[in-house]
Amino acid sequence: MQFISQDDLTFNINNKALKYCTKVSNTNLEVIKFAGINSNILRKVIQYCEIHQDDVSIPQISRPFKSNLIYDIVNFKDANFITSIDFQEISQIIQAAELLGIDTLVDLSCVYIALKIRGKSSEKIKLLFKANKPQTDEEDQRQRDIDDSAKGQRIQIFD
Amino acid sequence: MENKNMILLILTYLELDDLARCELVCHRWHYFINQDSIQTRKIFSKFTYNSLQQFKWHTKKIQQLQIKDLIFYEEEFKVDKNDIIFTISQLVLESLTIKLNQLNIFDQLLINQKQLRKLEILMPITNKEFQLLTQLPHLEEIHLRVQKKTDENLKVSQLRNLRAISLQLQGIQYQEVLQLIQNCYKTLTELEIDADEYNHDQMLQIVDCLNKDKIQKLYIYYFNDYSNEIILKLSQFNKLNKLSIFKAQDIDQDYMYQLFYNKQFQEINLNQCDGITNKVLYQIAQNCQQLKYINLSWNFHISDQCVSLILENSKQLEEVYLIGCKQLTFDCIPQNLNGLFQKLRMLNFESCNNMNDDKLMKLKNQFKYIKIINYYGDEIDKF
Repeated sequence: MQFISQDDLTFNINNKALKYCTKVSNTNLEVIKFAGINSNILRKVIQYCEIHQDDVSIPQISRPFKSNLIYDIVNFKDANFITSIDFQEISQIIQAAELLGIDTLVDLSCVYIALKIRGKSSEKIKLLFKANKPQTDEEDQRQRDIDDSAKGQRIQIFD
Repeated sequence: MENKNMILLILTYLELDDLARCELVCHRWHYFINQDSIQTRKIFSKFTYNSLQQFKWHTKKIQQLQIKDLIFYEEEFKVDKNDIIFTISQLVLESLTIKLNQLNIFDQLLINQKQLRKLEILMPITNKEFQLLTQLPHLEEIHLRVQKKTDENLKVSQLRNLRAISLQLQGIQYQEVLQLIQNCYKTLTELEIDADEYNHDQMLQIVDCLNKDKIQKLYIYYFNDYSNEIILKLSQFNKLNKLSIFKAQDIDQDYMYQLFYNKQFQEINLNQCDGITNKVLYQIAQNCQQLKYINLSWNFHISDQCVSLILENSKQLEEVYLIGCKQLTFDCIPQNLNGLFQKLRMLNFESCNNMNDDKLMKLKNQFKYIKIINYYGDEIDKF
């Protein structure tokens, strides 16, 4: 099958890898255009499917998590794959994976983010998710107001 | 940047402490964590507490979200009993797992919980408290997992038509147990029982009272008086797929063989059993497509070849225990590991003298997600 990305790049995907894309693997279509997925993201999502194309099935990630390292929780290939992706891109990967129906990739990405959040204080979590785009003065002030009021509601603090 | 569903999805992967911190990150996240939705309900139903603060934060959440399944352990810290009673009385629970230490509030907790289907009690209770259970019309599962024996002879025979029963310790008398099992003949599918005080004939009677066409799970703990006859009776249970009969001694190979002949099992525990030979293992290997858990610890008559066959054929395998099998070598791991061990999480070779540590290390490098225990009982690659 062929996937076309938002910026009109075409990607080929073979049948074995396609089986993971549960929402599209049953159609008879030859070509699908994904207007909402950028080529970088689409390329990586297909790469994930191809990594696993020869596997019989992908094991489910068990909880509670044994440690804070992704390498202890998922298999080596997956850990390598997910750590090679920019943190900012991961949310787009999740969206693309949900669109295509690749549950294990959604799981993997969420676990990765959850591990990054684990153990961090609220300030650090905020930094983690902070968008890199420059904010206008008004946006800055608005953000400060929101943060202040959120701080005022602080009831319990956990160490 | 990220939409609501995605954030909620990520939150379902977090523990209580992290959620408390996430609540403080920004306004949006605070809103997500506090609103009622299926995801938030799922997140907040199961927790144990490390501190009073945690408990207080959590009670607010579970009240807001009307949790149906609750696990509650009273730990070392001091919680006001009225707080707990008030919190739980606001909920309409379907399942409750409870462990109280010093507070005597079990009866007050059960008031108004008429929708309860499953109850798991991890502390000793009195007959007076037990009687309250008879007033729960929807009760299907009762699990008594007490850590110490008491003199209280619980009148368990008051209950009827249960689907799953676990009776561990607490010193319940044989007659009561027998009556209870008879009361549940038509509905019982799962039974876990501590049998150290029963003699052979009593156990035989219990097995006779069970419904051979219904029982799927049977775990017998600490029984010391197995015989071929009992094993023969067990082999007539045609729906059985989860079995634990550790320390079944003086059993002949043929009876064990009969037990596993043509039956698909999900969980098998044959720790310290006699009569487990390659012939029996081969039979297990023929029908192991659904096998998730297998414990063959301290069985000395099984060889590498048959163990390897089981490991190769069970694609759903999650846990393997081979403690004390001194005759096994690394050859019990299949040669061709392609596509194997997808779900495997535990491989325990404690006290296996002939297991090669280096080879186990290589195996660990290939399968990072499996917990592999070596001869000394240490996890490989922990350092």
